[in-house]
This record gives sequence, C-alpha cells and structure tokens, in this order.
Amino acid sequence: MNSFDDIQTAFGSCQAQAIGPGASGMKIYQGAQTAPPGDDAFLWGLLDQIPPDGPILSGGGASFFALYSALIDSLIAGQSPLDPIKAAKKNLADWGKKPPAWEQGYTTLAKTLKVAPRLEFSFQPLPSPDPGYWGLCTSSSAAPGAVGLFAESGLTMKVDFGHLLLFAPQADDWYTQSAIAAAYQNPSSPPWNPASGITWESTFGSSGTLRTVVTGLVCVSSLNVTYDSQASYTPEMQGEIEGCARSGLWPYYLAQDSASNRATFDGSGKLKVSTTTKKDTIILVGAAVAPAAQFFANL
Amino acid sequence: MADDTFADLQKNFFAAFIQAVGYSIRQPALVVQPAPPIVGQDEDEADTLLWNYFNAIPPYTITANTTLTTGAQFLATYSAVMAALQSPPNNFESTIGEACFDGFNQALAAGTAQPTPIGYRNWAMLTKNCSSNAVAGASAYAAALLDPIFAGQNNVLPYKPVGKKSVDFAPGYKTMMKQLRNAPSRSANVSLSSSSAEYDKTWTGGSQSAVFGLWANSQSNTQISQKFASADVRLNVSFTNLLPFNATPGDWYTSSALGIAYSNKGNPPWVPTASKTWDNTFSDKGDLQRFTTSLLIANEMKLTYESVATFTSQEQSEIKSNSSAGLWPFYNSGGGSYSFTDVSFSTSGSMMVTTSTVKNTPTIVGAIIEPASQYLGFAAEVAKAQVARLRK
Repeated sequence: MNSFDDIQTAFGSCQAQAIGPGASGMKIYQGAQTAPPGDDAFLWGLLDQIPPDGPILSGGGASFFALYSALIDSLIAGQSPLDPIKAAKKNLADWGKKPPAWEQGYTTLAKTLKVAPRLEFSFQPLPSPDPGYWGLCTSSSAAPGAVGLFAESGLTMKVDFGHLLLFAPQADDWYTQSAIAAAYQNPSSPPWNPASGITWESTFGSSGTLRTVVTGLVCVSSLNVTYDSQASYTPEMQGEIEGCARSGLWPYYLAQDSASNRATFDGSGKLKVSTTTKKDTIILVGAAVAPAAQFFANL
Repeated sequence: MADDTFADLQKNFFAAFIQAVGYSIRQPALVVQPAPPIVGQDEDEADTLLWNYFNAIPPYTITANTTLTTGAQFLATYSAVMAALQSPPNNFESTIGEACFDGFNQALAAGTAQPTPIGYRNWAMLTKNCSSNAVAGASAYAAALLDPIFAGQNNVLPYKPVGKKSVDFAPGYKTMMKQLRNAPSRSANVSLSSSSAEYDKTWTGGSQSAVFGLWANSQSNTQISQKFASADVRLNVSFTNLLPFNATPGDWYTSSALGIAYSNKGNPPWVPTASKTWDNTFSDKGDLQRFTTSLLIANEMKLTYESVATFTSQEQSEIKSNSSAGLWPFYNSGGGSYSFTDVSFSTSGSMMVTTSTVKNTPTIVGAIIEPASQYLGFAAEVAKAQVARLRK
C-alpha cells in the first residue's frame, strides 16, 4: 500500500512533469514560500542559496555569493587585458560589500508572471493493494493515524497555478561567468592557486561547495487546489485535520495569512480540502537547480 | 526510469512540433518549457530580455527549461576566447608607449573612450603625456585594426565582463513585434506514442537535457507491459502567430576573429598558456559548440494533452490485483505503486494538462540552432592566411 512518502513523491513528479521536463530537477519549498510584495532581497536571497542534496529546500544553505567571492579571490589572474579572472576580481571589488543582487526583482517578476502561461493539472494516484500486514501490535493497522489513512486511500486532486513562471534572472555585475567557467574547465593548472585550500575538488567535486546551484524560482500567480480523499476519517482525525487549516495543509502548507484552507467532511467522514491563495499573492513552489558542469560550462 | 515515459513523450512532442512549424525533423533546435513571455518596463528592458536569449549558448538537448540564459553566455565566452588569441606584432603600443597603451585600454573598459582610430586621437589629445602621439597613434592603431584578431580583441574590450557595455543584437524588440503581428498561424494535432522512436531522427537522436539526473526520486524498475507501452497521448497545440525571429550580434562581435579561432587549433593563433583553449571551447566538451540564431516566438499559444488509453473493467481488476507484476508505468523502489489517471487507466501518464498564453504578449517557445561548424565554417580560408602571418 502507498505510504505518505509514495504519495508525496508521486505528486512531486506529477507537478514537475506538468511544469515541463526542465523542472524535473526541481526541489520544493516545504511549505511553499510567499513573496513579500516589492521585496527584491527576499527573491535574491533564495537565488543565492546553495541547494541541499535532498528534494526539499530549507532555509540556511550556504551563500553562492560568498563561495564565489572566496573562489575568485583565491584564483590567479592572467596577463591579457581581457583575462576573465582579472575582470572577475575587478568586478567583485567594484561591487564591494553590498549583498548580491540579480538583474531583475519583484517588479519584473510580478509583471512577467501576469502574462506567463496558465497551467493546471490533475493528480490521481491509484491506491495500491494492501497486503494486509499488521503494524506493531496484533491486528493493529500498519499505517495508523490520519496520515497513513490518507496515503493508502483513493485521492483525486486538481491544481490550478494561475500563471506559472520560472523566474531566472541573470546575476548582476558582481558575477563573471567566464571566470568560473575558466576555473571549471582547467582542474589541475592555472588559474587555480596551488597554495590555496580552495581546489577544483573542494569546489566542483562530488562533495564540492558549488557542485549544484539554484538557476530559477518556480513562481505562480495564484494557487487553487482541491482534493478529495476517499478514506473515512474518525472524528478525532477530523479534528486534527481541521486544526491544520490555519497553519497549512498538504501539499503546499500555506498558512492563513497567504491562503484560505478549508477541510470539510461528509456524512461518511470523507475529506474534501480546498486551498485558495489571497489575491495578488505570488507563491514560490520550488526552485530549479543545475549541476556545476551544466551551469558553469554548459556541458 | 519511471520518468522515461514522459521524457519519451516530450521527445516525440519536439519531433512533431519542429515539423509542425515548418522545419525538418533533423533541424538543430529546441523547445522551451514553460514558455517565457517577453515584457519589459520599457523598450530598452524588452530589448535586454530578448537579447539575453540570443546571448545564451544552447545546450545539447531537444527540450530546455526556461532558463536559457543561465550557463555559458556568448559574449562572456567570446571575450575569454579573444583573451586567449595572439595577433601579429603591430606598432600601436610601441608608437604610443606602455603608459598610454594601458591608459587607453582602461578608458575603453570604462567606456570613456571609443575603440576606433578617431576615438584614440580624441582620448589622447585630452590625456597628459599622450597628446603628442595622438595622430601617430591613431595611424598605427588603424593599421593594427586591419588584423582580424587585433580587431576582435579591440572591439570586445568595452563590453562586459571587462568593460561596462551590455550585450546587444540586431534587431530588437520593436522590430520583432512588427514581424510577430504579421507572422502566420500554426497548429498541430498529434497522437504521441512513448514507444515511437521518431525522435531518433532529431539532431540529438533524442538526447535531452542532463538536468534530469538530479531528480531525487530514483525509480529503479522500468518494466512496462506491451499495452501500456503502446498507449498514446493526444496533443493539440495552436498559435495565432508563430515567428522565427532572427538576430545577429552587435559591434562587440568580430566574426572573422572567432572564425579564425575555430578553424585553427594550434599555437598560433591560440596562446599556449591561456586557460581558454580550443578544446574547452569548440570540442565536444566545449562551451561554444553551437549558437542560437533564431528564436521561435509565439503570440497566443494553447496546448492541451491527455492520454487516450483505456482498459476494460476486467483488465482494470486484473491490473489492480497484479500491480506488482510490472503493469504500472511508475514504480518506487519500496514496492508500492502508483499511477496517474484522469478519466480512466492510462500508462502514458493520463495526466490532463492545459497550458495557454495571453494574447499580444510574445512568448518564446523554442530556438533554432547552428552548430559552430556552420556558424563559423566560412572562415577557413581567412584562418589559413592569418596563421601564415602569425608564423612569420
């Protein structure tokens, strides 16, 4: 029978496919982020975050800008007036101590999102047969609780994103793409400094600090989600689920300052959930990521 | 991989799409999902957004995500190539001296001087210690600029990342909109099969972006039953206007310089100690293997798809009771199974998806690509003469 992980993974896959094959490397924000109106720094902060290995983006990753600056600082520049490392060092020096910026912010996001393609999709995982195994105790359920019941029961879902945009502005002038490409393409020679602790391996290797980066934010102009769960929830479970309506429900977990959530139950205890975001609220459901080879050297 | 079914569908979508818009199935090109709209606060910003797409070096894939502009960029990579080339000796630096030469280069990067002989003369006349060589310097500069590599290096100096000017192409947004309004409508109604190998004929042989590998959902079981594998997906796409919009690089780009770099792997014209090499630029591991020459721009697109496969109620119960026997398209390694259905059972992922774009907002749905051999192939003869000059 399906576990909650199975449902979440299937939903994530379905969502990524609806958005497009380019989103298959997408990592999700758990819960979905609400973009504060007019706040460029909020968006840039998310673009600056080095993604983790798992499927969920949590706050507090390392800063791409900080790692990039340390890298450029450690590299050795060439002689040509056009040398990319020389240009990168100068561009960072000119940028100074400001936090990193990208060429577009909230205003362009909002404007572009309004005219981006509309997207909606449906999700209906088939329940798998239950072999009937007991849980920890004799005759107990192997998947107790509301979550277990939800996962193993029939589910019909519709998601309407309003408009969807993969927001992928270019980094501002602090960033010199050809410098980091030069570093990536020349693992064992200049521009790397043999006396530095920052090496190709420590930067781009399998545990490297810059082995993956965020390339864009998956933004939607509105979220309208409805789903029906075929399980019959006990009155206790119903109370538990109704209580979540304030803090946020699966799959986007939006709290009541961003969305209105309604969880209702019919006579036989079957659940119906609907989540609708507030007007003019931009939601970020996830981020697209790319490996270093693709992002820095187009491989 | 469980995702393969969708990936194969997408590959066949590309094959159907590129033919529906009038190109051969073998045309190097890619489709973009989701299609990004081009809007700007003003015409300048719209130009910038549009040109950023031409500045993106396209990856080796038939489907790309919207982030065409991340990764290798034409201008920055080209500038790095220019840094790695050597031009034949000239009299410019010796005529004006090292101090004026360095000063002029800095002024070019800062945008306070123009990269032309008259530009040098004007700058030198107002610069202490260089005014005496203003005219002679301009003359030596003009002679030096006759060399394509020197010219290439000179012309890109005022542009990012070394200088301040941003990349540009011609024409821009205003012309594009005029062309778009007059572009023909296109539509396609196709039945896509994940099992068709139609995509083998595409320019990548069906290869799609490497970004798939990062998906954390690792599916290990790939068994698909005969019936599921032959299930079709019905797709309809229509455009009110579809324009192949062609644009060429601005003054930062000197085609003869890049053509010479492409046509000759040796030293000269390449500097042996440079970190930018022919191999990491033009080989199959390189970052400048192909160029975007046209963007496929759509006005008012509508796309819907759903799977058509249905199963009898007997088949459905059989499938239900044998779910572990490989009849589902999607497995997880934990032994559970799930499928996406809409009205009825489907193995091709009976997910019903509808995408539509707003009228009178241009969106980029794809790009036409030229490999370097085509884009730069003209320069072979020029390159031979150049290398002969450098070897003297």
